[in-house]
Amino acid sequence: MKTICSAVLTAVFAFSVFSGASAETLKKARVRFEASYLDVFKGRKAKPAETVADELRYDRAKGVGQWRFMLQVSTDDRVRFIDAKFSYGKFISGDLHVFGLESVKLDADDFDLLKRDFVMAASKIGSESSSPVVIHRSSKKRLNRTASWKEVRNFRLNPISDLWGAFPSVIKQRGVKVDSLACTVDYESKDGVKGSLGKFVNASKKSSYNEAALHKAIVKIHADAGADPTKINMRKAVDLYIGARLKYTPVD
Amino acid sequence: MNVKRKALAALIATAAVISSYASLERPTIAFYVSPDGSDVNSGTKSSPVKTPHRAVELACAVKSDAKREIVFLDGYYELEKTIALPAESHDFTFRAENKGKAVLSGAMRVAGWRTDALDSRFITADLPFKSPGKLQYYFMVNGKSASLSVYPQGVNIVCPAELGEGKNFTSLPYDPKSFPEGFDIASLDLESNWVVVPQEWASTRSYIATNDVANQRFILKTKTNMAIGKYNTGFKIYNSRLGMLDPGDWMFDQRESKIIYYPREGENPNEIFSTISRLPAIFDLRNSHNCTIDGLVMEGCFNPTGSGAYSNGPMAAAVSVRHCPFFTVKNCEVRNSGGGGIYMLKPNRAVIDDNYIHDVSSTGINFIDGGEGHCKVRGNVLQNMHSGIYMQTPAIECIGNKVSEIGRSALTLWGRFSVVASNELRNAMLRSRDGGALYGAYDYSLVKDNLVKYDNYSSWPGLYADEGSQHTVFTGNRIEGLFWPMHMHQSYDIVISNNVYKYDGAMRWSFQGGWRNRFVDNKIYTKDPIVSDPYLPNCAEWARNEVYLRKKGKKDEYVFSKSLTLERKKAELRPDIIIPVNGAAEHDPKGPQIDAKRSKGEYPINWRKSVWFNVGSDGYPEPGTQPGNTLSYSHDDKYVYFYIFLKNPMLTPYPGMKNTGNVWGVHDAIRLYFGKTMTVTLFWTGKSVVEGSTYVLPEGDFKVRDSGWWNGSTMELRLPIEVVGFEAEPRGRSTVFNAETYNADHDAYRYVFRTDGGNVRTGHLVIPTEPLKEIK
Repeated sequence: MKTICSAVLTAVFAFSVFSGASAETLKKARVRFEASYLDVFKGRKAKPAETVADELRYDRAKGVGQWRFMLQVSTDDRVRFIDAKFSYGKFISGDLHVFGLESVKLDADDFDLLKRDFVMAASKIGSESSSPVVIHRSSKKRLNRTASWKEVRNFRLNPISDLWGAFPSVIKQRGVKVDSLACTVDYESKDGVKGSLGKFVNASKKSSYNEAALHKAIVKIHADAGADPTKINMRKAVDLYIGARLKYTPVD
Repeated sequence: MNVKRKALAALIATAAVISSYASLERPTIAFYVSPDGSDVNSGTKSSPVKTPHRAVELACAVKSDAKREIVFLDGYYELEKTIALPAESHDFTFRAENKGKAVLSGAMRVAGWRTDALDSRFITADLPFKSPGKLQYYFMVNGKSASLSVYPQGVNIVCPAELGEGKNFTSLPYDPKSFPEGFDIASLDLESNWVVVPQEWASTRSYIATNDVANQRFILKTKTNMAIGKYNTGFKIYNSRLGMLDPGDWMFDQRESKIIYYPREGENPNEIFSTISRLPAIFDLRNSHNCTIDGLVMEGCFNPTGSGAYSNGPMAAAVSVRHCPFFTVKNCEVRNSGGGGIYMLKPNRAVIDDNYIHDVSSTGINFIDGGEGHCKVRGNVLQNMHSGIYMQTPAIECIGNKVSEIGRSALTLWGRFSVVASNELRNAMLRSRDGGALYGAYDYSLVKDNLVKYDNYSSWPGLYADEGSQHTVFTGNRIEGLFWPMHMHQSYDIVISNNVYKYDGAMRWSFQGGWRNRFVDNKIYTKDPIVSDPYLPNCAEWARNEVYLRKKGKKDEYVFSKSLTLERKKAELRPDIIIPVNGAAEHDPKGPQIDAKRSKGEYPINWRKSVWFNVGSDGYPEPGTQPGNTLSYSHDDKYVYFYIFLKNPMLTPYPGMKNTGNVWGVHDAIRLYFGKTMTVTLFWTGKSVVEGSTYVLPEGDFKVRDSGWWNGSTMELRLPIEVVGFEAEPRGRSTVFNAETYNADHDAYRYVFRTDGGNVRTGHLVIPTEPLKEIK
């Protein structure tokens, strides 16, 4: 962590928005900063990267293209931006823009690290205004996972959050249309019983399952496979769920 | 490339990644504060500001997402205002440049001491600020806490109230003999004095509205927590001249707005450095993200009585934090304060590490009302306070703390999925009732390697797992100096193993109301041989506990006696259930209809006294009051009536824990067995299934009434007598019967009659030939 002490404080002040519009509140200054980057996001519909054409994806588009990314600063609802150039899916160059701070040049490693830790909304520069904002999972989030014992403590399923965290609500505040972000979740128990836990749509009544709904969904899958539904109480449902394979499929 | 070069290349690659990530770190901007600074300064180290409030202003004026630090240079800060941040602040750190060298005080210096006009032993001075109301101030002299006057100091004032004076919560009788001889009770200063009425687990603090001398009663301004007379142990009067008994005592005269102090030996009124609290908190932080307080000393706050977790002002603690995820307090000292130490409302991934909290009036570390949890409380030292660490939130790591000299419980957890380990807890329960060194509901947790040790006798347990602790392992703990080392209250599926209990006298363990607990492989050092345990039926296993007996005439020398296993006995056979006829023996169509809106007492039915569902499927008694289901019954000439009370889950009834509720899995079903084949299964949902009979239960003859998780729920049912299959016999009509409840959380059944192997149809319902006269 770099601590800027008296020697460099003046320089930081000189750069920060501290100078200039002194009456402007922090909130207004932030809005002004964001406004200069949001033009390619605002009013557009968000779609999962897995559902859009390759040409809209920075990591799959042919030729050279430029994308703007929006991502969280930390775990809260502040955002920062990246302008980056790619050639055939390969990172060429980029700049990270953080509110009030000098832009930072990124290299491919920097970008990989950010990609690993943050969900990103990407918009291709020069694309039509009807083009979607493409939501990329953080690269450490997998589409397949095994339900773990840790989930006993919170027996519910929130696939939107599992895939994209709080990011949809963060970019919704910036005018991106995220209500229809969706995915399906397939289930396979340890003993091979398969079924669908359903389709989950952000900002709908069915965006997540509380424990009762998850219980019910598991009962249904096993009942469809021939089990006696009256014998699957909550405890049994938890036993079935833990260790089951879950496959997330983002859908349009 | 050889191996060394490959390794070097890998190291360089790794370093590159790390360094490039570091380059993405946001910078931190520091603002410096010094008692000798000036608020017109810029806040650099060489030009510090004077107040943290100015530093916060400067930091907030920096319009960027840089991280911010407020650095306190060494010195004593007499704060005029609580430190707050604008809502939605991020990445703030408040730290001492040198740990422990910056003291933030919420108190103000008191000067102008003079001899008290009424008692020359005392000195008096004016409150140096306008009193904002009736508060519990904290007063210090020469860096040492003064003792707020309390009368009497030993046994309480006798309260000659009858046990549970009905609905009386304000009229507090007193015995005049409890006051000093010749004392004029009418002279009590009702503006300043307040009473504290301890009752079981709660104490009420109240001012006196009226002193009804003629009837020897105080009429209180605040209602007591329980009816006066209940758990009656008398009361005390605080902040009165009556209690100014010893040097070091003090009080605040509310009418005159002055402090009265009884100087200690050697204290010269002209030379003492005295302070009185004027702030309720040092920090009042809300809705901020990822903030840290590091290395500061905080002291001198008053207790803003009546300020709850959701009130407008700060909570009653030096550090009041509400809704702040990722909050850290480390390396701090909190001392000499009227409220608590560090309070967090709905904590989320908080870290409280390596703090020293002592001499505070309330709780040291307090996690309130749930939140996401996942907090860490490690390496803290807490001394001299009402309650040590109190955690009402899930998923805590509470490790390596030292807590001692505590009025109530040293460490309380109302939570689950937590680890409570390697803590050292000494001398708790010094002043309060109903608690223990380790207290609370421990669900799905590990309590390991803790030391509990008391120097003096305590009538409360060392480990007290209360209402509904379940699926927790207590192991490797050492509890010394307590005759009652462990009390499991309504706890289930608890394993207590490999602990050491040591007490030089008779000991007791209790599994009151719990079941399916295991008490095995412990070591017990005691005085007398153990031959039985009254709570044996509550244990699935009481086995292999090594008993060591003290050598006669030798202190602290024990010899191995035996490895003791106590066997449970099967449940006794219950006599047949005799069903009384209801008030109107002839069936009245307008009479005892099943009606879920009626309470049991509102039915025109003489319900037979309830029987418990209290036998496990293995035939052993499980006498716990949980699940606490009971069955009542009656009949007229057409129907038999059943009224089933379902004690709803008290398994996890506290905030911070999941209340699995009465629908999903706590009591899934009740099943009644009639005759040789008929069963009636009653579900929570109101659904019923009749098997082994062609009878179709009409809708309306079975109702479920849910009164919430605390009050329980009921099922009401009536069945035609002829359907139930009564057969005539000399004593009346009789049918084979049993009733079963299924508890899904425990995956366990309980019955009214002892089961016989796999056969559950083991009891009888009898309608006697003659009405039972003795039944009302």
